[in-house]
Amino acid sequence: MESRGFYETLSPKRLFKSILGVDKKYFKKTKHLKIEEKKSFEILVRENSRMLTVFLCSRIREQAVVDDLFQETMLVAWRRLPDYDLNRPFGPWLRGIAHRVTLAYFRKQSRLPFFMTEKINLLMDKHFNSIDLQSGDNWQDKVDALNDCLKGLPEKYRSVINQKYFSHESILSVSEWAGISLEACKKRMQRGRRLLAQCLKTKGTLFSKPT
Amino acid sequence: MSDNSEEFEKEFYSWLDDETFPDSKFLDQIPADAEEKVAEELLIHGLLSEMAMRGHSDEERRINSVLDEVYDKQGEGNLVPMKKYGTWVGALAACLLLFLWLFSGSGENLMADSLDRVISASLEPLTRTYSISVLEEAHSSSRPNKGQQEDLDGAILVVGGKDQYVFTRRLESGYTRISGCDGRESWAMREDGPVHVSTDLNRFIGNVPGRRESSSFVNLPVFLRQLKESFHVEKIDCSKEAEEVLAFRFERKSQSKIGAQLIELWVDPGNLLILRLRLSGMPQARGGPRSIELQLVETSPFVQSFFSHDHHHEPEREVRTSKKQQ
Repeated sequence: MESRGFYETLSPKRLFKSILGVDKKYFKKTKHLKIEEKKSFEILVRENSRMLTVFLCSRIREQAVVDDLFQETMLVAWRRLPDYDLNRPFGPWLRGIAHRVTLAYFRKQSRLPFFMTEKINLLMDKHFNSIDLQSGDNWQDKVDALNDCLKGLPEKYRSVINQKYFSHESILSVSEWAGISLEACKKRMQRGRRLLAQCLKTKGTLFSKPT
Repeated sequence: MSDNSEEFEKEFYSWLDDETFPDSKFLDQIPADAEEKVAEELLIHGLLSEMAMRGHSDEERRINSVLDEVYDKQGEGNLVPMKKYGTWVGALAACLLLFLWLFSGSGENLMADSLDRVISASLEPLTRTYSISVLEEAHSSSRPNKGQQEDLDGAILVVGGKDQYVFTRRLESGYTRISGCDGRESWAMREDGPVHVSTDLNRFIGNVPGRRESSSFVNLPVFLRQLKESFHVEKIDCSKEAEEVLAFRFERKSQSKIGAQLIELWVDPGNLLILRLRLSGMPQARGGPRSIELQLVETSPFVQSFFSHDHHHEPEREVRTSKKQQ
């Protein structure tokens, strides 16, 4: 799934034009081009699926809810495709939809929408845009530095992060596994993530303020 | 650092890392000087979580669930003729509706009354046991967590009062998984594993049928009210059925892909018990069947203790408790 060839390297505008060879206003009105429109959208879905999942995982803890909001966001994007400005990048537009879909979910659940403030959105958008500017044909290439940063973490931080995220262990189990107190384990996780953020900023993957 | 900042930080890391997450008072009050740090940590958390999820081929499943929906819209090509004749069709339909309304009396009100009576009856304290049959399997072959996949066919759902249920189903691994709720806490266990207990009543609701209808089938009055509000309701003609039944068809009003698109309900007109429930067009994002049916197999007097986890395992079984998550 990682190497998907020529179309992946195109901007949405060029993608639509290269597949359809026509202006978007024209294909909107022409039913026989509907299939081509779907194919173009499929490419955009595949190209942006991991970015959207990261966005949702950063706000939602439950994987089932992440799945539902992923589907809802993409389907809203599909229905609103005629409103999408081809001169603008697709990612931020999709994140805007995801933001509204997530807020609606919190409202429906009568839950407080954590971390959904305008400032947090702006800051996270800067990081997403920075990732988007990385070289590479796909998301994996663009965030590849994360693997290097993980490998470069001191063992005591790397091991707890691996256990928590990749072995899907609870923080309590991780602390027992590491033979440290729960609080110490939480501190290690916290410190590990901070080190990863610093590493990614150093490598230019995440946005960092000019000094 | 102010008290609020300290509290925020504590709750923020609890949100990121704890399995159990207490009710939060501070998470929506991000201190101005912490915003950059919070944004960075959220992103790192998102990146790591997404990377960890990829091992379960979830990405492809999520994408396919979207594309299924997009490519399923086969009727779209016919929109142009519909538009052309839409005015005439609309006018004809309006005339027909007016005719029906004039000559059949206020049918809608009668239907609403019948449904209200079913809702009232659902408040009765009674234990209802339903057997589940899968009518249509998922089209997609993607099966996450092989071995842990639940087989809904033959599963048993016992429903008591509000948020009181016991749901038993087989896993592909051959084990049985049982989950439930006694109205105060929810719980889940595999037949050979520890009992997980949570004060979050929806924590283990998992594959309980109807769970996506904002409330679920395990909370019958709310479930039925939700159907009445969010679905177009029509009565099904059951005059040809051997036994007298009252039947309704609910078609989702919105385009939301969360939850079944079509729900059919058969009710005993005598005691207003739900005899049969069919859920069709169920979401495929998490796998599972497209269409299932619940059939009432037994009713018995309500006994509160049946819905507690203690009733379903030996006393020495390990119990792990967590608090409500946000």
